[in-house]
Amino acid sequence: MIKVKNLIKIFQMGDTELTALKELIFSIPEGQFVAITGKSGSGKSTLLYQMSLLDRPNSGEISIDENDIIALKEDQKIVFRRNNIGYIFQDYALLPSLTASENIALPMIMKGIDQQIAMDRAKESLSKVGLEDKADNLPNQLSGGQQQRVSIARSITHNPKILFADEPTANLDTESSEIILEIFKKLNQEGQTIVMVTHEPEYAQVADRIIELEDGNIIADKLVKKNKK
Amino acid sequence: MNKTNASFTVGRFLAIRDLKRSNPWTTLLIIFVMSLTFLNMVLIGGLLLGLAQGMIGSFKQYYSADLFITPSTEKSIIEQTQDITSAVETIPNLDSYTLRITTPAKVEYGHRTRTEPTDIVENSQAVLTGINFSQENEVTDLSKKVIEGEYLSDIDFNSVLVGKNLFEKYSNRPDSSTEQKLKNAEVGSVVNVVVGNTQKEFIIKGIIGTGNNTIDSRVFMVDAAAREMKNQENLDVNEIAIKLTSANLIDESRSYLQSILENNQDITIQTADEAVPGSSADITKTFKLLGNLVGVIALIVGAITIFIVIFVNAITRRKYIGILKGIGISAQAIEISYVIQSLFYALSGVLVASLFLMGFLKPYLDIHPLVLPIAEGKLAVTTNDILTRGIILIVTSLISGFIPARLVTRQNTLDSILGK
Repeated sequence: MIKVKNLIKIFQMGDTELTALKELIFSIPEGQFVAITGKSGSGKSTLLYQMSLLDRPNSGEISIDENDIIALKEDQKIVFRRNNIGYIFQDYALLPSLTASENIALPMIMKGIDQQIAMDRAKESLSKVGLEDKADNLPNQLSGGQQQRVSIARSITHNPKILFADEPTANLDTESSEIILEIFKKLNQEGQTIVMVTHEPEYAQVADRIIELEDGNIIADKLVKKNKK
Repeated sequence: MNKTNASFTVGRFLAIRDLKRSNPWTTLLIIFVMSLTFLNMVLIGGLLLGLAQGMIGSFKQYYSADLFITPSTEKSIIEQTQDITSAVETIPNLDSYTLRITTPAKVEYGHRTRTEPTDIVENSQAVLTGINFSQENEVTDLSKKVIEGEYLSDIDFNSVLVGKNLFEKYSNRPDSSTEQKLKNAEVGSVVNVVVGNTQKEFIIKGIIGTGNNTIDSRVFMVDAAAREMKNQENLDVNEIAIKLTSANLIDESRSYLQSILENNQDITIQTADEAVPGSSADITKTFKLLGNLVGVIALIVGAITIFIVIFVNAITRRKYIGILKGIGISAQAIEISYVIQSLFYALSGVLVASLFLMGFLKPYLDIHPLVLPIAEGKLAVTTNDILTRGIILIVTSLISGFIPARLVTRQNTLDSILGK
């Protein structure tokens, strides 16, 4: 369960201050698939950065499973991210000198899992995203869609409590985007909590719930009516 | 697996793959720079030290031997030489000794074609040295340093061995108003040796080239002929060089000799190190200092090189480092990765340079030493030197690799990822 209370994020732009998030309050129960939408500059990525511990808000509270994550020190944040959070970047953010399977295995090795076991699990994860034959390919030998699928495999391989995705389909063609969304749907059906930022309204429809932002305020928070489970 | 172990495993995992998949030419270039840095640390110092050692070594080999007896500053000759030699012969560890009569002289060539007494002929200043050639050879192996012609026997009263520094063709220093050289004289030529008002013709039978400036500026003749040139009737000499059976017994033997001679104040007994002329000792000190200075500068250059390489690498990969932190890789693991890469570059550089030094350069210079006017220089580098300086370079490189990695991993994760 993620709880956000009175969350404020202010950016200093020279002499002026820009309030990117304005006292946001909401919670996300375990197992929910939430899409955060809004126009460019509405604050959706900023919100994701705060919830995923990549950035620190100016005030407010964020807790994940009753853990006050804002109070964590930098080293503790890294450990918390490693154990509880999966993060999918818009530009895939794969490490260029590592193969697909090595990219996926790395966080597991950091958790203390034996290297060989981590590599085996990485290959299993790759097969879940349909890339079992690309295990030894470097990122520059993969298409954008394939790289994003590797990124998803990396982010779920250590069984995170929450999966954050920042515009995961922004750089992909329609076909690749649909594959990615299908993977998200499947993961969510298996019980994975997902928080996805997207500016594509139709892609947001795959989620259980849509939170819409405008100028740092929540202007809509609604459940998506569908028969998906 | 504890936190540090996991960080080390990940650091190693990242470093190996970064090195394996980086541009091989870039890697080779960095290793080449590190090799040059290490060569700079070892080579210049080693060559300078080699020259210094060559200078001191040649003094000991061809001049002073293990113990060297000369007149005290108040005397010009070792009086009662026979008493001294009798004492020398009782040294328990005596191997051999040689006596030398010395006096300043001038060697002239072309004097036979002089038409007027005022005509200037080619000439060179020298130290005339009268020796027993067999005894001298036992102590200094001088016969092995005849570079042209042949060594003298003890009955060659009319022949001389001339040091190569007296010849223009062997000298590295050109003629000057204060120092002239023999231009056309060669083995077989008849030269005129002048000592004060005494002069006599001798045939050059050989040319000596030891690499030691003092020896190579001498003219050697049999002791009886030298005595005649000096108009000296007694058997006193100016130098006694004593070779011992073991260099470890020098101090012990000197004490023995001093006691048996009842601390004779008319002579000075020096060890080889003490007999080295003050200027040479100063040069040696200066060379050592210069060698160390060049080594320290090279070390600083090496440290800066590694710092720049790792800093540029880390700065250009800020996003990469941000991603690593974003997916839960500890800053410690990232730093270890960069430190391992620094270790690889430094170790490879040291290994390549060491192989070049010990496998090629040192053996080559042992056979073909650098010939300088002051001495012949070999490369004075030992395995210990290589190990010590190698370790210094590696440790410095590790620190130089760690600092920039630390600076970059300390930056805000999101800023790194977004490239702010």
